[in-house]
Amino acid sequence: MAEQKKPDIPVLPWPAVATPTPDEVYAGEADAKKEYALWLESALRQSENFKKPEALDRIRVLDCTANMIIGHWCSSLFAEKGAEVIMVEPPGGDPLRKLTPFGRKEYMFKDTSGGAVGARFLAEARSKQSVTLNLETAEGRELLKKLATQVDVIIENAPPGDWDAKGIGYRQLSQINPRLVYCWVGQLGQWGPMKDKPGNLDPTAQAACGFVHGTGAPKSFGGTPTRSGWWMADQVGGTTAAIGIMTALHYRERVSGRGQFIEATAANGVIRILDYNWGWYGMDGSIRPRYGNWDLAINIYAVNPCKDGQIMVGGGHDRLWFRIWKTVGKDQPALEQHIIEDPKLKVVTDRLPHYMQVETYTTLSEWFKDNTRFEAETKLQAEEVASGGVSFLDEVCETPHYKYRGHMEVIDDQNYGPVLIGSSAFIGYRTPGRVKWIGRPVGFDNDDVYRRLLGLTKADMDGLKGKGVI
Amino acid sequence: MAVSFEEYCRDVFDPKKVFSKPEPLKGYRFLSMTQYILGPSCANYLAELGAEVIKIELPRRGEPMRHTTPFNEPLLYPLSKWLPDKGTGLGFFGANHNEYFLSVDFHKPEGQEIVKMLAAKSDGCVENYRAGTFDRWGIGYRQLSQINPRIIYQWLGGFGGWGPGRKRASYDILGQAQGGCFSVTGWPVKIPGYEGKFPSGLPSKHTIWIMDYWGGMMGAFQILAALYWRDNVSGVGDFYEYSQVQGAQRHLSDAIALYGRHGLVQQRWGNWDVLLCVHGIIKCGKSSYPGSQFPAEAEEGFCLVSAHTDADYAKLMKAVGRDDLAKKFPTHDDRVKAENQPAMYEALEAWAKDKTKEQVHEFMQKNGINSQPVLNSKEVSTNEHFLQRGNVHWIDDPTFGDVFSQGPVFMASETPPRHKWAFKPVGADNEYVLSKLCGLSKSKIKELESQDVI
Amino acid sequence: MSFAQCSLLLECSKCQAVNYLDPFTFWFFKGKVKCAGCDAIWAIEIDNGTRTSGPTAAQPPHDKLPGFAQTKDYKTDWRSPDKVSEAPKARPDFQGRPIPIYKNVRGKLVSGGPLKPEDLVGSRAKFILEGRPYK
Repeated sequence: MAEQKKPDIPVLPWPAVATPTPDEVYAGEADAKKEYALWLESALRQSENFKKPEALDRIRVLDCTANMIIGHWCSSLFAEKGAEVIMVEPPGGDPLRKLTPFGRKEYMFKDTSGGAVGARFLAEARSKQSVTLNLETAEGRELLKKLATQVDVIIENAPPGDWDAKGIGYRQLSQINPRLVYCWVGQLGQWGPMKDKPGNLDPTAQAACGFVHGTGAPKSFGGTPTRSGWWMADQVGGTTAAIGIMTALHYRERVSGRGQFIEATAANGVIRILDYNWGWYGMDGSIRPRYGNWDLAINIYAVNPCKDGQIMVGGGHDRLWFRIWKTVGKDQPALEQHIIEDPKLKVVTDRLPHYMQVETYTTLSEWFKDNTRFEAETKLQAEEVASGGVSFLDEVCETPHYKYRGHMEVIDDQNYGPVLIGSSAFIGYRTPGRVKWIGRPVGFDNDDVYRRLLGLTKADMDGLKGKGVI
Repeated sequence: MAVSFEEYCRDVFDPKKVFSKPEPLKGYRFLSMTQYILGPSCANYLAELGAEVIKIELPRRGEPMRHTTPFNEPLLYPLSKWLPDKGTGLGFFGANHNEYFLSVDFHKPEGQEIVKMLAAKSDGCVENYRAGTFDRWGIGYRQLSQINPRIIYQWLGGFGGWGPGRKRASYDILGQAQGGCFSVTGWPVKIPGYEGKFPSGLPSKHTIWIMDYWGGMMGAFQILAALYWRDNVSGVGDFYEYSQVQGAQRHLSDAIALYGRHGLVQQRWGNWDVLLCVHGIIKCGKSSYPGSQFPAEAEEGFCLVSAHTDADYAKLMKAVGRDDLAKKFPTHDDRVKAENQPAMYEALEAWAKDKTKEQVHEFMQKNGINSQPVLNSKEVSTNEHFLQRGNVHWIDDPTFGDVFSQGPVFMASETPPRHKWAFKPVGADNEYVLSKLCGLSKSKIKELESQDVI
Repeated sequence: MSFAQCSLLLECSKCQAVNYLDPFTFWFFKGKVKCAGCDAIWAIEIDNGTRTSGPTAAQPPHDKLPGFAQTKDYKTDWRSPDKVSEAPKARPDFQGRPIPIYKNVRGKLVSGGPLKPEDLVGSRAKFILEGRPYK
């Protein structure tokens, strides 16, 4: 299929605006006031990362997941903390590699050998090696069993029972390597009335766990249940998988000398964090309603539209409430007066009912409509009220604070060239997380991994390749 | 060994058996000097693993999250033994399981001394006060690591303590907004050619405080990795700074890569998917509970329909009587194009207009198409799947009675996490913690209480 | 104090009720709103939160109801479904303040209501400790 022509828009290399220097950032601040911040910088700046040790560099992880992000997200966290992570993909690669927004091939990332990969997969290929292995063949499964003796962790997301039926499930692999930590990840589970079926992908878990029902504007505001704009449940579930695996590794080393079977699902992860839905239902049968960009438990704590987009402002207590209206009153005194004089809004808890929020936010938005995000933020900041505009990705990538702190970085990768990514969020003093490379083409590391872990010779590997085993 | 795989899983992951298995973090102790959700949830994931987590709050009223509850309505009593007529809101519920509750005023020197005594015996601490506050009070990482070089100190917050935005206060949804999450979730302003057919929307927040709760998970993982490194390799602790807004950018790493290479700015795409089609959540015109007094369930239903392979898609379109669309978009490359996607979802919603989400789901299942109804919180709470697995469960809480709760975050065959209680009133464990860990006598404790130190 | 120049606060010129045109429904709006105070119909156009046309008197039926409405002196307000948009609710009878609950959704004891000092043993509710209903 021919590539669509990219629109002729000049793209400035990132950063389009120079990152501020430390002198600029701390200009005019007294020594005593900035001492702590400067100490933090000295302890945490990522430019020092590669001089420091890695917390998990004695761990080896086999990521055998495909089609979903949950497993790759989980193994990314290990990779960032220094673990050796090997992605085991079917010959031809994880099908996720081929996905690109709206099918636009021109937005894929090409490697030096001419292969192409989509951004979704590439973002979670960081610092990992790639081997191919065909687990549909008996020989492939034998190779996996051998690999299982050489690794600490295996992560898989095959349909429930699939690996067990193939003889490479936890029941079998734990016989071969009792120290193995084996983690299954998926949407809803390996067992139970709604266990995963082949092909279940995010947002299955989002829909099943109550998240979608609770997100979006209420029906009376013209809204519908809304899914997250990305595979959020996979990322949350992947993080819980990482916690589970790390727990098991810890227990193995400190106590038992044995691994165990971990199950982490996207649904379980998101249910865990749907904060008070469950307690509320249990008390009086309340069913949590959708509340759009406002909050059921705090007023003012919402996102509302403004002149050039959307803006968040928070102020759940009197101190901030009055400062917010004072800010509004500087431009539109009638609005401040209207709110301050309403006896129904005098007490903090009285401001929470829905109709009070309508009154609050409609009046506030009357002021917002005349202010851009930047203008509103600046005016509110003058009264020490925290606020922030809804930023788009280009704005996010150019925000001075994030550039300065290295929240995104360009990795000049051997295979993919320079790629801008979200850096490791594990900022730390002694063992910070880090990204070493962006990713690998399919099977790039077959020769290295099979030789080094299994002692295969070139002839062995040629033979296996010929038979479609790798 | 004739046990089926499903039976095997039911057995090894049986939530009713967790208390017969060891706790993975037995014997470890953490201090949680946290408020709201970001900090508390981090320590809470450790408490689920069996660590002794001591939550330290300001005396009498405790931390602000206790005073947050939806619609002001549900509260659990007492807030503390000093204020029995006040309750703790359910905003506190999700991030404080299994913990011990100590009340200490950090601002006072005697309070800081207590913290130091506890830190000397703790494996780590979690705090999310404004950066530099604890350092000023003499109980920051620089000071505590002198007392206890093994301490793992996790600070969590919005923007971090260094850089141009270091002084900015943050909330979860501010983090969502500033970090970029909002801008990609929700319905687009309009879909050309389909005005009025689909909602026209503005960016939407996630219903959960995802930056907070998920940020806490990242912090907990990092602490576990630090424990591993300390106990098996180095013998020393570490200091971490987690920034919520960075978490948002980490979520959107693929969108960032597209911006960096191609200047693309990802936008909202409603209930559909930018990578796969058909793979979207459609409106099913009928309510599953018509006439219900509970508005949240009285409205019409929604259902995810997933048929993105060529074979599944053809099967789906034929089954709903739109073979013409099967022929029009035979390959995935055709279907996934932005300009083509709306037609398929319009057709599916027209077909589903007179059906409930259960009817749509049943039809899809019968035809071998992947689907998932969008469940509300009651449907999840009463769902056999989640109940059998302990993803939601009833806790016989010693203070508050029979309460319904989310379950722990993962399952494990040998050392599963578990919930012992939901949470406790402010200062409920003052005597226990202060006598056990600080050697304070009954009269000393009473004295500190009268001075509002505890 | 007049809200005549406002976009999202619609002050009805017939009855002076203040109708709040909530920013989600009305940020981009072209149609007719019914005043909660007197049922008058107003045609109005709002673009990006700013009123570009109206309010002009119009004929029923209305397209949307305001999100909320009250008189300028705050003494009267309207909350019924024929006057203002329906409020999202978690239970049929929205209270907006603490609801004492001593038995939960499955009929078991829960300490969800205010207590007195004599109701406590340490920091725990005595009726929970003893497993008997609260008086």
